[in-house]
Amino acid sequence: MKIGIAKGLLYYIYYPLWRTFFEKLGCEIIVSDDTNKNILDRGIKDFADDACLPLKLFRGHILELASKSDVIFVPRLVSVAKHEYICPKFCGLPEMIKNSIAHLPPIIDETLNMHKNGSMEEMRGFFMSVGRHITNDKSAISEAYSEAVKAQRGYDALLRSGFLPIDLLGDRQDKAFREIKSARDYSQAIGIIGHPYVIYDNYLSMGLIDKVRQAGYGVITPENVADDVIDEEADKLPKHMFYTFGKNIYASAMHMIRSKSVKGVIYMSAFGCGVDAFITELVQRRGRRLDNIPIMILNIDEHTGQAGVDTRVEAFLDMIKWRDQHEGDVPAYR
Amino acid sequence: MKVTFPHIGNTYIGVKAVFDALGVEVVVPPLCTSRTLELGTRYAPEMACLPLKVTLGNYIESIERGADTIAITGSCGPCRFGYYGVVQQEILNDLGYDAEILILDPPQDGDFKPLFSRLAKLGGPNVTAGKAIKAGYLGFKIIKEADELDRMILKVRPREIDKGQTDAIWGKYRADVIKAFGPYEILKVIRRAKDEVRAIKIDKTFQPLKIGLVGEIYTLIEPFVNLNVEQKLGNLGVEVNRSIDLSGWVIDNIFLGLLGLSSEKRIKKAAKPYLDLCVGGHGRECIGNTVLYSRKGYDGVIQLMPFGCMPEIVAETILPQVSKDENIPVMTLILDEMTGEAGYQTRLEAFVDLLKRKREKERAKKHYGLLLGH
Repeated sequence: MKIGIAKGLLYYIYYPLWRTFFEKLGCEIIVSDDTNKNILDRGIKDFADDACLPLKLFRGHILELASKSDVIFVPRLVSVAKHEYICPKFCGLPEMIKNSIAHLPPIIDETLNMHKNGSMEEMRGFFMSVGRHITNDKSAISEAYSEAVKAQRGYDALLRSGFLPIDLLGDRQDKAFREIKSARDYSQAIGIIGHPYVIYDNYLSMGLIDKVRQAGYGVITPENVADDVIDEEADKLPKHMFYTFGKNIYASAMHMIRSKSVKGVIYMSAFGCGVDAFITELVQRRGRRLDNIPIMILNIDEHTGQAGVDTRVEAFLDMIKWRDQHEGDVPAYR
Repeated sequence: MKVTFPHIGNTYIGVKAVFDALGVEVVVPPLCTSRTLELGTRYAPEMACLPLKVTLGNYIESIERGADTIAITGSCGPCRFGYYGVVQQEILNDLGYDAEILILDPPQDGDFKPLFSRLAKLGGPNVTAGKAIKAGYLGFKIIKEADELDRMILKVRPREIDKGQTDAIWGKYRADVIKAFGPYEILKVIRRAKDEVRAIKIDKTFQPLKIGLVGEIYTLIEPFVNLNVEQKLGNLGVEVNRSIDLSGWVIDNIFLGLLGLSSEKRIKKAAKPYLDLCVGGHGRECIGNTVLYSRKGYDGVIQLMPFGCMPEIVAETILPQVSKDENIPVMTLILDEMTGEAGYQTRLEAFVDLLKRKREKERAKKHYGLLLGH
């Protein structure tokens, strides 16, 4: 059976988990191509204008997969942690896809909802029902699930040690392992924050991570920050932040600024992202009160021109360099 | 302590009555105007949804009138509304205001303590539980009667013989009710307006088009934000039904919700083939109500939402399918600070024209069908 997995939304976070699970059950996995203009254009056509960019793009990837796969995996990820959600659009994702695309192959749209207690039992239950779409052999599903969790743990550990999803997924892994030593040697780093499906998608982010690395800076992202550090920073908010990725982005930004581990923070947010609208505000206001580390917000949409983004990133990096050289890291005015 | 709160539809009438009865000093924010919106959009994040901006404008205008405590309800996701208070507090702090926002979150995991301590803080030392319950009951009664008045107006406006009578009564009532003090005086104003509406002469033979309004609760019930959509449609000769009003929401979520008897069950059942779980806000209700309006023989449905509303976008992408399956025209109107009134009016007129044509065509078909023996 050919299972289609879209290279969008939480692919960058959970792909090792999904791939291992389906492969252990003997499925062939079809991943959609890297994002390109054609995929994005197809996603946007005949869809709600005010939906967020990553969602439009995800729809494009599904259209890409429709002709290539027997079944498409569109999980409904309501919640992956206790008392948290991902975003309302993730709750209605399968419906939005089904009702906006005609002639879709069958989709696997099981629900993962860990909102009540965040227990891994929910996760197991989710995979058991996903597995039933493929086989009736419960022990095989259970075994595949255990293997998948193991693979995901290994992936998460690599992320926490400083690798990024773009280093590990696809064909760049060998190169990344060879170069990571030198990557650690970067004396200075830039924090790049944002939703994983924005910053790790090379087309959407216009190669932001590569660009910053080429300029001689290491890159730290929310996926590199340890869970307990995230929780510690998030607890300082007056009310529990109930968006998992919003929480990760906010807390990792605060951690980077507080620990002065970065020279600057670039927040790439997608047009129409409701979570980003709030988190950019909190990061800017609270971050600036904390320390004077420069923060830049880059908002991207389907019209963003590459040249404009390049210019802004270059200007930001130049500004950081000048600050080091001429101001001794102290701004001339306050 | 001077308490204030955001505007949303008729809330201010009931909430003011509650605080008046409890002897808590309250600043009712001035009714929303373009200044409110301008203040809100100037200081709020650009991509935030419209209710955050307008309510921020309410707070600033109330603070200018001496308010120092802002009481709002909260939620714990997935809609962004649950985080309004935190973001707005940051903005007010940076603007140099020292007003405090008290978020009244529903209890999570059965822990009522934070909610009660905040309510106690709001009431002050002289308020007992008994007093609070009595005041709460009066407040609820007032909102219920105010909603009833709204519904009467929706029925009368398209049928009135002398056009403009209803609007005149409504305008006078809005000006009077904000000046009244205490629950009993407020009730008197509402009941007087009801009597006046009842006295309007109507054309009983007229069969107006019927349009159901669905969508996000704030844009549905705050007339400033939806550019008086009910008034505009009513004056086009349309009978409007709003799927959500405040008293209905209170009954469903507070009284019946606790007993598990909520009328939302019917709506959820209607939405089930399209969306079988809560996506926050009123996304699921939007779908369910559209189905129900179609079955009740309504001519059309209008979805109202603020730009970027996350739950409503889910509904928006599903509605075209509902419209096709249930054979009911649906129009989505997205509201933000840029919405121009003329363009909005044109879209409403075009939609009403379309519905009229559809009705005529269907009636003609029925007649010809009979003639030709189909």
